[in-house]
Amino acid sequence: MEEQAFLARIRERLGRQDGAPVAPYRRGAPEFWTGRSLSSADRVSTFVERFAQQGGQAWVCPDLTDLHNRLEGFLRDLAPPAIGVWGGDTLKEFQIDGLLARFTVLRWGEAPAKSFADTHVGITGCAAAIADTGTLMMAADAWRGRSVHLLPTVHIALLHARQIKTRLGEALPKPGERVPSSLHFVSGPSRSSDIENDLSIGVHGPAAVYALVLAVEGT
Amino acid sequence: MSQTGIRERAKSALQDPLLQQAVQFTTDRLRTRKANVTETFGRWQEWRDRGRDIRAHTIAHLDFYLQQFADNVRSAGGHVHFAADAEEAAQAIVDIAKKRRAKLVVKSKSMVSEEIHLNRHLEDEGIQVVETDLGEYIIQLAGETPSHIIIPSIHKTREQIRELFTKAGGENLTTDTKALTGFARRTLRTLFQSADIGVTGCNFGIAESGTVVLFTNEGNADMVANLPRTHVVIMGMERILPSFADLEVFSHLLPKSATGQNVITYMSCFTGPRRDGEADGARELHVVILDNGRSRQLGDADFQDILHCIRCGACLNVCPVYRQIGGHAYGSVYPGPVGAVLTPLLNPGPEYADLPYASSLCGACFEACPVQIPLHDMLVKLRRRHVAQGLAKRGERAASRGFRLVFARAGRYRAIIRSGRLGQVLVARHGGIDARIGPLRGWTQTRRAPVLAKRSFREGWPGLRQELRQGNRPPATGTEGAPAHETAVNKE
Amino acid sequence: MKVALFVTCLVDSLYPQVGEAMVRLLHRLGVDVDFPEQQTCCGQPAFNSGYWDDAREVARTLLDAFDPYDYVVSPSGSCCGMIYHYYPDLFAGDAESRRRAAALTEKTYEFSQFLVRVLEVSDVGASFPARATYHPSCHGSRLLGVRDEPLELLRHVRGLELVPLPYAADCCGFGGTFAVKMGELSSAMVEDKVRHVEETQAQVLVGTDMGCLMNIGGRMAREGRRVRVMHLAQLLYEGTQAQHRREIVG
Ligand code: SF4
Repeated sequence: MEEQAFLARIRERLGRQDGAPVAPYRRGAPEFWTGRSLSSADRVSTFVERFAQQGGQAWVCPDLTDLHNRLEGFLRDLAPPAIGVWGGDTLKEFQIDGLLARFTVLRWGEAPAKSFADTHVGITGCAAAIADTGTLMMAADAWRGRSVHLLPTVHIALLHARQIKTRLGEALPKPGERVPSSLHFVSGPSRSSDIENDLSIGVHGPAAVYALVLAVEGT
Repeated sequence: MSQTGIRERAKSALQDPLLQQAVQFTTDRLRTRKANVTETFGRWQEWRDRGRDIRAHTIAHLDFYLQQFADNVRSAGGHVHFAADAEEAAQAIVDIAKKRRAKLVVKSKSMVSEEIHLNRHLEDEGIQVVETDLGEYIIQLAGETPSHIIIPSIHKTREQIRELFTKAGGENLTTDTKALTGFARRTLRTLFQSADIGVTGCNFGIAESGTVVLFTNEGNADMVANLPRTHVVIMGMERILPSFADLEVFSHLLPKSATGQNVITYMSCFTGPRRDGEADGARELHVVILDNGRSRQLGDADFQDILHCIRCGACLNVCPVYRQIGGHAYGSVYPGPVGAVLTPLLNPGPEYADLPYASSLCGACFEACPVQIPLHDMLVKLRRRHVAQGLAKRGERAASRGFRLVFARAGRYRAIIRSGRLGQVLVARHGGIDARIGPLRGWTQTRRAPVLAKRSFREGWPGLRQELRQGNRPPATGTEGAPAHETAVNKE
Repeated sequence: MKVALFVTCLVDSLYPQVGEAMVRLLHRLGVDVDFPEQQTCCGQPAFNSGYWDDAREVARTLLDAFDPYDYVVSPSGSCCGMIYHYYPDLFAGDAESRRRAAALTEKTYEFSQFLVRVLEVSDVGASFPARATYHPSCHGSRLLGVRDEPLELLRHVRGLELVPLPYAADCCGFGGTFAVKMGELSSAMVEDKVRHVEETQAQVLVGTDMGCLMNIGGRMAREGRRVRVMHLAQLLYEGTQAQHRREIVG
């Protein structure tokens, strides 16, 4: 059907004129919700707690050394044949290149996108995290492929404590802001209860999601 | 096209204890979880109010927001198609598939795609279609349709699933959940990568940015949207929200109402296809916007609100009728209370005119609905419409007239009571106005019918009044005749 | 205060003892109710089946009957719910009737509502030593918003052990015409309800609507169950009678 005819039908049914203004309305979450905000310490602890409730695991790392030790520990245990990582300078602050040198690493934007289907671990940063719900937000661009966090069995996200917001609304694009081609809000591993209500993990996306929260600014 | 009526379908569903058990177990679980999560979250009624207000505002200005949405999808590089009905929508998608010479289409769960019978249209063109939501995949292998909005395979046991997967090539599978999902993961992974087109629904379309928002727990919509070259979105025209700020409200209302989860595992927002320099994401994005009877509800004070629905399924989980018969008995794509309203509205005429009668009008659906759609009122209003259109059963009208003749005049009513014929009249009162079935028949088959009181209240009233006027307070004992506990209910 | 009893056609013809218990109890509490005889039925059966014209004519008997009263009190949450929730719609077409319907809506109370909200009585002085469970009727609780009042009254009955009914809020499957039109479905629903009542091992099932109680009780009678089915007004009145007897004897 022709677009204008489609819209005209709606207009007619609603009894509205073409170009008629839109009445004001109460936008977004209730004020009691948008008005609240957690202290930075509470944001971190709430995020860690809720992320775990979602089936993920998050650790607060006091410094880069600690973050490296943990990451190294994971990778030693997982012994992944291939690791996918965001490309360019996206993870520069976390200084993990040295640590990854021992592994087969595919960098987004350098290795062919298709090859990420065979990664076992995906390491990404994030655009923001949300304390309320234990959520990671990834925004896609040339260096931040969607496949990096979506295709591997284990997703490890590196983030700064200051990236953690209280609620979702703070992370969502503001009016007029340029919106990335895709925004992914991930809260824990892929899950399904479609077989007799029995929870199973990793049905399509990662079966494990880890977050390493760097408590201090990188050096 | 349903051949039988809801009554017959319900009857056969009632004879399937396995189905009933599965449905009751699942809906119990979902509603308990919902009760818990909303309790913890707090101020639920205020969230519901906000949700309803935003939906009402959006639908009341739908022309504006839809235009804005379409413009923004296009400026982000997507294509928009408007479809007046199911046929047009299916054709638009078939055309895209043919142009891309598609052989394989992968899909994530979409009720609207069921509504337009998309799979059949694509398969008629020789295109293979694979559902990737685990539950949908199961019922697709079984050659069935979904029986619940959120958990389509609610009615399948793990043994049945094992058999289906074995037939689909799974070797030596056990009935272990891990083994079964493992098979689905491996099988579907290869299909995601070789598919030409991914079809998804759309939970919300954000007007201010032209963004398509998808909610899944499995992450399959992300695979479907990102891996194939072309991403086709099929959405009902009402699925719009004005802004991202509003999405925050529904990011709470939807998963909490649907499954009692605090948050959905994957909420993904797609604004146009992949951009320059990006190495994944669909290269081409099409959004097909469907009317198919929806615009007819606009401007109708009785039914416009049905377009506020966010397809959470909460009304199914609390419905005492759905609980007994499951989704298939509704004979259409949308089951449960929302289906009993939506289906006859989208498909007027005799075919689904009996659906609104499959309700005791208990109102549990309204109470559960995160956007407070008065489904119970709509059911009554649909019955009224069917009466006006002559779609109600013959004999009903006469019975209703009879009811009016007797009950509109206290004198006649009294005379009937005196003559002891009220039993018959009560067929009209509580037995439903159905002259073809004997008085109270459906009811008395399984229940003891009440016995007409020897003396009606109004016949006893003068005496009672007299007694109370004369007597002191408190009244003397033993004057009230039969002991009150000997209610007719328990009498033989 | 002029109070009228809206007895409902079901109680009038099948369960007069419920109306009687209500009148007697209110009398004990110092409220003398009147029974205007023009009243018949709230019109719900025709209304729910879609015959609004017929329903309107029947509903008018209530507008006429209760015009002169300050309060209307009724043993049925469902019939009150019909007035409260649907009369504005039913009489939408005619301003005068609509005004009268609105006035009726304002002053109509379900029995337990009337006691707790208008009379502000939650203890009627009853004693009833038994194990009981309470079924909240759908229309009373959802259309009318009667949720706590019956429980509050029951909690004050001496000797009464009130046990929660599993799945209490689930419909018993009556739904007026539904029970006939969808007989099998309705039966399945009432079977569940009866099973849940049994799980409580209650001796008494108490409710605020005779439609539902007729349905549940009818099913239990069919199965030969020995649970007493009582309207709240009956339980409270009988409880005060027992108390009264004891007072006299003691
Ligand atoms: S009608 Fe309400 S409860 Fe039912 S699916 Fe729609 S939004 Fe959910």
